[in-house]
Amino acid sequence: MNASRPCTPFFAAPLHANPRQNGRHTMTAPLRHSDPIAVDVALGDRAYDIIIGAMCCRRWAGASPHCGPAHAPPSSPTAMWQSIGLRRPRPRWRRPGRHLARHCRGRRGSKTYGRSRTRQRGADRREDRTQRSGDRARRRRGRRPRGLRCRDPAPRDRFCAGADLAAGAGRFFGRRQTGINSPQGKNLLGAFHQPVLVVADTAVLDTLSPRQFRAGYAEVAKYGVLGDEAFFAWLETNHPIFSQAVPLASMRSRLLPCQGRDRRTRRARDRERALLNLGHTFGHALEAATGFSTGCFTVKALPSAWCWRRNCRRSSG
Amino acid sequence: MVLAAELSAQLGMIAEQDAVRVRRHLAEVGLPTHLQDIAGFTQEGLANADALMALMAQDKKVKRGRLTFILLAAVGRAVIALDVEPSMVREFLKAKLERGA
Repeated sequence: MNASRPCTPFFAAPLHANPRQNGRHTMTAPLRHSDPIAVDVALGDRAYDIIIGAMCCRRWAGASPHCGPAHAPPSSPTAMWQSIGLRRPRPRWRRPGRHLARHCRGRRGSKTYGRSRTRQRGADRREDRTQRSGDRARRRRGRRPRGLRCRDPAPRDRFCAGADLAAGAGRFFGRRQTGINSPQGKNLLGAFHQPVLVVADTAVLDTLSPRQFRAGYAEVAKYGVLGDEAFFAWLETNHPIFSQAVPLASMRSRLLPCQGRDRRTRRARDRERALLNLGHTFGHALEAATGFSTGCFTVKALPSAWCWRRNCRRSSG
Repeated sequence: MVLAAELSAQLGMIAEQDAVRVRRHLAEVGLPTHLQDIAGFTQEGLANADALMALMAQDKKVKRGRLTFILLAAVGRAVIALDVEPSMVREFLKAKLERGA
């Protein structure tokens, strides 16, 4: 754990993590299905942990001094947030009633905006742009095309809404991103958020439909195709385990070394992140052409990820 | 991912059988591997290579109007390709769109 961390997660279960080796964290210890594991994303003062495990969300919440004792499973998403002492995040900068219904409709409908003036103008996303401070600018910022560099600090008063954690793989690079679709293309708008902690509850994967799970599997296979031929060969032989009940325990130890790397330059990190876009140039265009329909190539799933930004800020005073 | 692999094969970056290997695996797990597998493929706009190119021009990796692709130098080794000719990609998409039509 990084000493400069503003908060320390609390666990009932032991964590199996090897000491850091050459700046890279590897997880090699055998995992019992119920043990959560922690991946230290060592990014200096932007470091954070990723907690992965079945039902770890509730356990983590129960052990937190901010959340009271663990109790019965929450009956709804709102109750889930309440059980950990938080309100369900909603976009503060939107007036309820006008935009909120569209924002929260679920699935693809929940992340599509009607229009973006910057996008319509056809601006190059590499344009550098200075953001003004203040409420009005902050309200705008969430609609700006992603990838635009902003000289103003990223908004710090919002939860991170989600993360790519498809089939236990996940993309654990520096920033969590909330991509929002617009008629001009997929994931064009949105804001970047630096999380303090990400909790991925693999039990949520059981709630996915087979199609959603397959879409997540594509993300797993992508790791093999773009960076690890041996892993891809392993998948070719072993992919039937995904139709069984507990594929994740054996998957996790193979996937985790892909992530949580340290001591690389920003440029190297950006370069590696770019490689994750394998197939996306085609895929996003196809998705936009089909109106982000459920029948299209979606290479991402959004099973579970919560950022405890507010909670951790509270604990750090 | 399949299109990226096949484009790499067409550019001679990987062998044809490597692209086939990627596609075969994804087809085995039940994922769509052809443009024609996409629900709504027949709708207007999708079966048009020029429209797809226009949508790809909105990609976040576009720099100064040049498309950037992530292609394969081998299975297990992806590279950033900055100098792919748009006309070549258009022909490639046209060929893919026509094959199943």
